[in-house]
Amino acid sequence: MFGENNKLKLSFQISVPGGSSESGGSSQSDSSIVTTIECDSFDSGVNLLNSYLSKESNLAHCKIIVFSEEFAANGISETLFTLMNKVEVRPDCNVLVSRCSAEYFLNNSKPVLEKLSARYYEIAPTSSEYTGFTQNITLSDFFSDYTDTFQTCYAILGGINSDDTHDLNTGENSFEKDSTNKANETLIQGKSNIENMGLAVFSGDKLVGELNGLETICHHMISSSLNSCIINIPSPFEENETISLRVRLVKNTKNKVKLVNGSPYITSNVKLEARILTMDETSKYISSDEMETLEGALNSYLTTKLYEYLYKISKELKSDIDSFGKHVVQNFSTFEEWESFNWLDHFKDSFFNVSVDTTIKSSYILMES
Amino acid sequence: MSSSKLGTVEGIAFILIIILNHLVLNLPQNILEHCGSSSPLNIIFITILAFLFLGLILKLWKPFGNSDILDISEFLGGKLLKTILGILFMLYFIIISSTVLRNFSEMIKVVYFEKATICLMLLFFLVAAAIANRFGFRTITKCNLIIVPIILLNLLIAFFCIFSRFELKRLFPIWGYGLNETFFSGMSNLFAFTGIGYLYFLKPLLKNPSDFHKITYISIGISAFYLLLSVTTLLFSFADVLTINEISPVYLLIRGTNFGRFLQRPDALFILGWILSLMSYLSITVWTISNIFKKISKTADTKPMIYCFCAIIFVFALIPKNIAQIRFIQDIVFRYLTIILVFILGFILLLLANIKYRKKHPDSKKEVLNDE
Repeated sequence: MFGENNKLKLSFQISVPGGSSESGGSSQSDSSIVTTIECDSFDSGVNLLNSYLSKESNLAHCKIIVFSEEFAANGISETLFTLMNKVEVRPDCNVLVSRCSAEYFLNNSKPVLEKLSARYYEIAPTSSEYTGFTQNITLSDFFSDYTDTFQTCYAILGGINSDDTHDLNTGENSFEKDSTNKANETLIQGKSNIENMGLAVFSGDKLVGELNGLETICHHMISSSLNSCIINIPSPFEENETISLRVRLVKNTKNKVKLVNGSPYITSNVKLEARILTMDETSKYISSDEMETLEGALNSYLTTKLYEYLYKISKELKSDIDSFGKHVVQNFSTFEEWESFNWLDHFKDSFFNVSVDTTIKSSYILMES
Repeated sequence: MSSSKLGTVEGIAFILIIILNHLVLNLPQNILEHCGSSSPLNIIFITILAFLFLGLILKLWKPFGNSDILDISEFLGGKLLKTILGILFMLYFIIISSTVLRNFSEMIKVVYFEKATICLMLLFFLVAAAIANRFGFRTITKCNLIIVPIILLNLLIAFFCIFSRFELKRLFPIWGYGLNETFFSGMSNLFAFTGIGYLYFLKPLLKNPSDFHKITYISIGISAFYLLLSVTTLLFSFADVLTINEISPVYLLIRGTNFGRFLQRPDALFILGWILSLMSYLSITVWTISNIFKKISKTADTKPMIYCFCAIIFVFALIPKNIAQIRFIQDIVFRYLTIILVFILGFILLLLANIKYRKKHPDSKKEVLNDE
């Protein structure tokens, strides 16, 4: 993040040796320290830290790099290249954009069910495998996407869950409230804790927008990175009722891009498989007719959400995080032609055709009430 | 005597160790810088050219039986030509090996021993090469026979580890930086087959010289396969491969890999393999240099000269002031020196020797140099 007098305000969370081995549930405050330094550059900050600690810090075990929203919005190119230039920084450490200041994020992050924050940061991003609410973005992925010519980069969106943030929920429909919020907005009541929810979208090296949990699921569907997730839809059978389904991709989404009068026409065919999670004694959607009705409702709901998501990234964010450019590049024979075409400039003119084909298998154990 | 000669597999390993050392350094990156996304096409193209060249060379070599390039040059232009060619090849091997040594040492220094002096790093490898040469050619080739399969497997695992990151669409735009860069100026990427330079000296070292064809084609075929594999892996895995300057891009690829949560950071294992590989490469190169020296100076025992050649490589390795100069030697000097010496001079020499041979023996099919 930005410092008051200097260019950078650099915060380090350092594990205290032995701090995690004490019995009785050590809190973050006694297993690690957070040191904040105002400095002109990343390396001068590390140097000052070494001077303060009287020890040479080594970033070989750095698990996460946190940028504040404010800093990311102003461009992180210099810091990114500096980090990539450091041999000790591993390419598999995660990149996160915090909705609060990075210092606040580190000071208030109290890992849940893990004593070591390093271990927590290593495991937390993998929750996307079963929630779909975020993505495990490493420094290597982020840098590769940043230097790519047919896509833009994105990072994990994080924040600190606290009492102040519980009122910020933005979900319009009650059934969507669980998934249409971002980090710092969830309705989870608990002690201050790290929340990874959504994605931070960049254009070039600047943060241009954020995706909430449901939009991130849409991103996973389009980019074929969805493992499984839970989706709530309004019940087609009873008003004001919600049905939860566990959804996964049956096969990779087929994306095609055609240039129509210079504008990209993008078609996406999403094939999904779902299982019903919500059951009660009056549940009647297990018969084949009701199943079809439910499939239609899910398809229609997801199609609407995918359209909203796709038009958001193209018109509002102007950022191709789904790598549609790779389907266009084959129309060009040389780099020179491709670079002069400037895909990212054309992406904002895209129009979409999305189809979702879901097969609802069944529920899990209960067959019919 | 025959026990100190190379079998077929040893001969293949002898040639393979050369390209393997270039592969783990910047060779794939040099090709990618030149051709971009058309690099795989370029490699297929230069492989075809290399095989055509080898076919031609082997045909031209036929009348000279069990001779190496120095014997053929002596037949063509006497001792003077033999000495000049010998010195040129010695210089070539010294320049290339010293650059490879310096480049690899710099990489190890940056990654693990930042505070160590470069002299110490260079000496670590050169002392190993000198000791290996003291033990003799048989020891070097036997060790090399163990090391080469390890490195081949090492690289295969490295490439397999990052297979999940493959994005085949990075093959486009299909012509990369253009047709000229892919095919015409791209022909200069033939320098990747630098192992052909060592093939010129291999035939007299073989137990069975009739296997020379087999060794030539198999070793260059495997080299081409690994070259294609390394370039496509780099191309398909990362968009940022061209921004890497100092460290081997193959190393950076494997740096981000792990085998589950329990076996993380396996890069040190890969580096260990590459260290052995460089030692073997240097041992073979020092032996080849001393063998050339033995031939042109008619010295009976060149063992004392081993230290001298190691010292020369050491001095040459210290000449570049920075990485930019090392990259210049690799990209430009190595590229054009290989093309001129191995591909142009070698071919002209064999062609002229053939013409002379046919003039001398218009209807003879005898192998002239063997008889002489």
